[in-house]
Amino acid sequence: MQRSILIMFLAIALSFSASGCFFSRTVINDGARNLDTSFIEVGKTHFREVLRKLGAPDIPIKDTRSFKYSATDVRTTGFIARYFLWLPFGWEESVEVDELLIECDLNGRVTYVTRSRRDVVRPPFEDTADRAPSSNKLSSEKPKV
Amino acid sequence: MRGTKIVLLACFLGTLFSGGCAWNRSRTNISDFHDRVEGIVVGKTKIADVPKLVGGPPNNIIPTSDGGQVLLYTFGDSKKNSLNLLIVNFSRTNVGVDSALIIVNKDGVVQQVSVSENSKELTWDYWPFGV
Repeated sequence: MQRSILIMFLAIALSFSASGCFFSRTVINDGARNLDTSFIEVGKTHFREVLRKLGAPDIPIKDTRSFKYSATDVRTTGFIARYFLWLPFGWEESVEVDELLIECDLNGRVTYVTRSRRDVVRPPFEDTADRAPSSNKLSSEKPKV
Repeated sequence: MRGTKIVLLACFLGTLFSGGCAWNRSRTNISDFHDRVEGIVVGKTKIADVPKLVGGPPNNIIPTSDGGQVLLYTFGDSKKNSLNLLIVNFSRTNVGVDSALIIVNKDGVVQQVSVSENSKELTWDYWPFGV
């Protein structure tokens, strides 16, 4: 009977100290992923209309000449040894998956619209080399001749 | 003896797979800003009344080229849900960082209110995979 108790104690102690793994994900401003910017006409649209249709931009906002909207995805994978120590095995990928930057001139008219979309992977299970190429779209005012 | 082994095995498996859930929430600045900002009437509300209506002074004031001002408020919400098992743990954190721009003309009257809604309907999720 004493042996059984010892085995039980060892089994529980082992399971408590056994290393485990964790998968976590943090999504910041997911709603900014699918903003429709088709209404913006470079050189015509005023920043007030941008704010009216897209809402307030990300912080920090220093002036009324540039507005940024972004969504960030952070995926973390790691191994832990419960209660005793953190093992030095952890992988994290943090990517601004959707980034929209709108710049305006001194009169408040939109001069540039830049949009970048990227993929986030979960290392070490997904290789960063397999990541889909990012898409970048830039609309700018025609240069004055 | 066989019964003891079964109990041992049950204890071991129970310990191995038992765990718990955890919920964490943190709010930044004014928590019910979306409701409070509805008290602002565009074209009527004066700049002096804005702090009383929304519950505090702005985080920043930006002057505009036409002599007006933009009052900047920032606030947000974060919800983290974890499923903690002994050998594997899943967690997901949804964060909504919001800002509100209240545009005031040179006479001190509110002309426009723009509020982002990233934290408005933030969901509790625990599954960290997928798109």
